[in-house]
Amino acid sequence: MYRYFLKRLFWLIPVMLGVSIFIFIIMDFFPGDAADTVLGEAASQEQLEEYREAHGLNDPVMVRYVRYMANLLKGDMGISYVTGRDVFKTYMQRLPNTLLLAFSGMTLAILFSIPIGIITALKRGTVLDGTLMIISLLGLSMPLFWLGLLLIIGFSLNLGWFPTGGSGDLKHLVLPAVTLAVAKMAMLARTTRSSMLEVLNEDYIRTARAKGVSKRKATLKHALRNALIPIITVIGIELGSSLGGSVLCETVFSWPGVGRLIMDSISKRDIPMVTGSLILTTMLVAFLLLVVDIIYAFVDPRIKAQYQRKK
Amino acid sequence: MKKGVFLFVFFVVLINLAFAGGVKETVATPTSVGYQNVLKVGINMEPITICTPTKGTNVMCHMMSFSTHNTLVTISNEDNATIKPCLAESWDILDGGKTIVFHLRKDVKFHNGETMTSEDVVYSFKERILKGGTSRALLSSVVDVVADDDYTIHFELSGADQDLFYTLSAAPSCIISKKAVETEGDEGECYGTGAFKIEEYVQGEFVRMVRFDDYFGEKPKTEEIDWIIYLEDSARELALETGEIDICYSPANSDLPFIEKNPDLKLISVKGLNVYYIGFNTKVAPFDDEYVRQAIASCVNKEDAITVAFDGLADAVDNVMAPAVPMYTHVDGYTYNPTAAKELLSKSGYPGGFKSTIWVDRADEEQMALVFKENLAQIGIDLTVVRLEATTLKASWNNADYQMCLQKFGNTGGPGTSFSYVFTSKAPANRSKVSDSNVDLQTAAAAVETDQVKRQAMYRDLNEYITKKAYWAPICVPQIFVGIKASVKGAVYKGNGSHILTYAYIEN
Repeated sequence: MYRYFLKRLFWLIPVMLGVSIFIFIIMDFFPGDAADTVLGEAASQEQLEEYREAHGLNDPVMVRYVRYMANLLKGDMGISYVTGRDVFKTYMQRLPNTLLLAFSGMTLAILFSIPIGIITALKRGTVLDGTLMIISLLGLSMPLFWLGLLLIIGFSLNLGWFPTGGSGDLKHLVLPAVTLAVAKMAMLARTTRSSMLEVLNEDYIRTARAKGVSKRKATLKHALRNALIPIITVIGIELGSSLGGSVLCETVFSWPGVGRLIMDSISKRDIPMVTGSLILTTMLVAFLLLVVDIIYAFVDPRIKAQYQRKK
Repeated sequence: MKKGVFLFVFFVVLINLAFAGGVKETVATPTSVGYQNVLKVGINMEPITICTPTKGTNVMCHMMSFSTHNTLVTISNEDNATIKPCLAESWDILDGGKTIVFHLRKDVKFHNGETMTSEDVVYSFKERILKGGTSRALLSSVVDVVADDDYTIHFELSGADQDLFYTLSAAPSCIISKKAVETEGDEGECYGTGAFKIEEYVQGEFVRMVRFDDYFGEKPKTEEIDWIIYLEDSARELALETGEIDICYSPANSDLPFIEKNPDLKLISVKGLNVYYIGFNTKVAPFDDEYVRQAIASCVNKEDAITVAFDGLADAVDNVMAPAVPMYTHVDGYTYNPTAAKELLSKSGYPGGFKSTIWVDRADEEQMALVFKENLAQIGIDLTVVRLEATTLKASWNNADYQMCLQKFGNTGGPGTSFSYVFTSKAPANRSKVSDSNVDLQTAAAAVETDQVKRQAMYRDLNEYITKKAYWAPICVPQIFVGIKASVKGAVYKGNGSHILTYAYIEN
């Protein structure tokens, strides 16, 4: 298990290299660079060239990449071309907001969607099942942007319960977290339902019931535990996508997260900021997926046994 | 299992509470007798260069800099044209306008406690503004800036420059502390001489400014201004309705009725300065043909475009100079007339029409371009609308496939800027790639003309010449809107969107 963990950590190195090369090459394909953004249209050709020379923007992409990686190995993620601020510090300033929103949204989604998924699986084909699944379909297809604005109108403007945006105390968190949770909830509820349906038809559930195990115990202890693997996978993927930032949610609620930072930086061709942010986000997501893998082992002893056999 | 679920939920709640406690509170509005202490302004973009105002490239930074920094001179808020003293209390124009001597105030302090002297002014211009500043393109006539004594400096110009004072009053021409920049680098520029000083800037969230008690001028009634970033228009307007902010910068047209209906709010409308126009690449066929440009200018239905893109809240224009620019004189231009357009096209080498593309980068421009696509189809021009991302567009003006564009130009300088910035052969935003010696000579001549009546006549002639040549097809000037609480007083609203909120206040 321990060895597996280290092996996975080791695999992060080529992933990071791949991501950073990919970002550098993709950003190089786009027309325009930081000189255009920083100096504005008043800049003469000479001034643009001077800026490019000073920041090494005229060097071939691989030269820039090697220079960047050399600095990265020294722990220096560089300075933003646009704001002149340290990339790592800027990212870390935004990260707590992103983590807060992502974990809150996911917690809400888990708390509601798993019970919904179990109920709809148990009541398959009933009106309740149909109704909850239609609601979850609505949640899945509803644009986040629109839902966010509806919640602001309802709970901020009309009821005055929560602020319209910004970050601060827990009150600021409620509406963006609920908005994010709705989209995740729909996906998670449907996954839980289908996974539970599959398990509920298994022979061992029938056997357990025949042996006199109560329906509740058979569902929660025997069925749910066996149905958890795909649910955990979806939770991991959804949480990973939230850690990359939920740009729409962050924009509607003026939530200062990583998503908006990355989007702004891409539009301004701020390569150090984009590269640094994406490398850090990739590390975060890769670590999260590793944690998900470890959770598999705790949930399902068969997986743990597999890890141990590989050792 | 139960224990595991409990631990998981407990852990997540703990993380949430830990982070929630760590995020800064942005809203704090204690009140005192008289005036509300904190004024909250909802803004629509990130003021990225707020700490380097001489490099400010967006209107938000300019607007905020007016509260934290000062310029040598300023423009009267009454007529938007008269030049008034600011850091310079007086000036003398010598050698037929080639030398301008400024006498500085002696009671000016920077936010870092340093006293402003001519050394700071010379440093601001020579080392910052003229080297890498946003205003440098409009200060091309400045040969040198020299300190005569501690409180006197003079500008040496290559020739009289009538627009110079307008440029010197623009936010990127602000004076900064030499010592602060030399010790703190670029961000040392944030120490200005203005009525407010920057206390905190959290990127993506807010800028907090507090009143500077050693300010040389009249003290503002408000103690703190919080500029809070709301990128989404509707969310910003809703924040005004809920009372979370006092001023809503640039609400969306679709939200204006909500502000108008609310008795606690007030909608401010100002004549704009941004001219939306169609630009032609006059270096390539068929746009090197004057008749083609004139035909297009005569075949675009501006009223329809305004209805579609601005809900009717813009004024159609047919001059290249915005009506709110000083020294504007109206000249007749092209109006929507497809029959006349067809005749003009038949005189060109393309009587049957042609295929072309038009570049845009914003949603409103795209909406207008789609109207024009329909209009131009009537005379056989098959237009393809191409929407490019802003930085891509900035970098693509020299591409071989650039033919037409729909862009906006906001004149933030003097009247001459309406020509020198966009039509002269070396103009930084010459989207039509105009290379016309007549335009160059007339623009240069008007810039040095000291007789203001003659100068206005010269701009009228230039406006008429360029309009007739159809180097642009001017479309419209949208109105500028600001939503405020009805109790907000003292703010000055500007047509270029760079409002002055230094003296805005709310009475308790």
